[in-house]
Amino acid sequence: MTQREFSQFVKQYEKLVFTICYQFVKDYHEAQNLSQETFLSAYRHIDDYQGDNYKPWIARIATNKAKDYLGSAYARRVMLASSEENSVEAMASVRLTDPSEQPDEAYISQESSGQIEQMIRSLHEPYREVCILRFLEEKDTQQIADILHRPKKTVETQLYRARTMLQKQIKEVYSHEKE
Amino acid sequence: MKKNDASPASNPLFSFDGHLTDTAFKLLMEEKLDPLQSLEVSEHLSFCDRCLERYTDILSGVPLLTEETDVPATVRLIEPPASLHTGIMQAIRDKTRVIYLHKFGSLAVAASLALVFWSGGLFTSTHLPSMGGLVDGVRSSSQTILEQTTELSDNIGDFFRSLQNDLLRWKYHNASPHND
Repeated sequence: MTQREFSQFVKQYEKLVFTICYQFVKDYHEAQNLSQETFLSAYRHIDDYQGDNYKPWIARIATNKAKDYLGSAYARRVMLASSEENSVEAMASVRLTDPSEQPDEAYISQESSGQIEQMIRSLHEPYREVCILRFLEEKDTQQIADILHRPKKTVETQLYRARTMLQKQIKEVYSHEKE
Repeated sequence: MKKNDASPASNPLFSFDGHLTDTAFKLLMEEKLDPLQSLEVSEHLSFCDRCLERYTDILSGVPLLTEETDVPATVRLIEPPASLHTGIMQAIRDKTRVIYLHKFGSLAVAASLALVFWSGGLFTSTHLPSMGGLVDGVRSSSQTILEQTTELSDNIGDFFRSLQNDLLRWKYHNASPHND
């Protein structure tokens, strides 16, 4: 595709792409950056595209760009929160009589597997099926990806997030019990 | 221990078959998804053709009819800033220029090498008739390049030596009590 043709392509889909980016990130400036990245990516691959309908193709690129942005932002937030939590935990652990006893481990050792299973089954989608297959049916990520028709990378990130949710739930339950 | 209900927690964004609900699309259109929900929905759209098709249909004005009745019939696409198109085309031009520079840079290097070999006599007819001639040609070129390189390095060496002498003379002159 020539630059002139691509310019027409940009004009045709810029509203769609910008709307998609904006609906996900809700930031005008960031939506503009992501739209630009979307079209640059499209320019690199447009000659390899086999289909005849560009709309879902460009919409998928835009969604992927938004997903990558949101994923990084989420990871940053989680890392920040966990570092704050860790410092609180470190302070709290000073008061423990046995410093080697970690709250999670102590709790899990008392917890019956049935109760953990209940927690897993009570997760909402898109985490429930992934966790059942991983933790209860002990499938590996590739098998889960094949069963659920999701990319392996998506399964991995969903498992990571689900694990964080479960850890949080366990901590909450443990702290309620301590009180 | 708090008892957990074994039934799945309700998530209005995903149906039992794992696809996005009308509510998910509605919240997305109204920009009411929280960051994690936005991530979950975008993650799903990145691999699910069915939901992506629905999403692009909705953005093209096809109304949502199945579960919700209060979903807006038409969706207004957001007007991007005027600079978006210009910025994209400028970025593409810049990228293309860099690619061409790399290509022509490689060509220029190849041409320079060819010139060096040619000037060394590698491509002359006396060297070409046989492989032995080719080897002689390469040897002759290498010899020429070696001689030229040696000459160049000698010249550079001489230059630095004279520079060093000048500096020493200048230093000695400045350090002398009778220099003024």
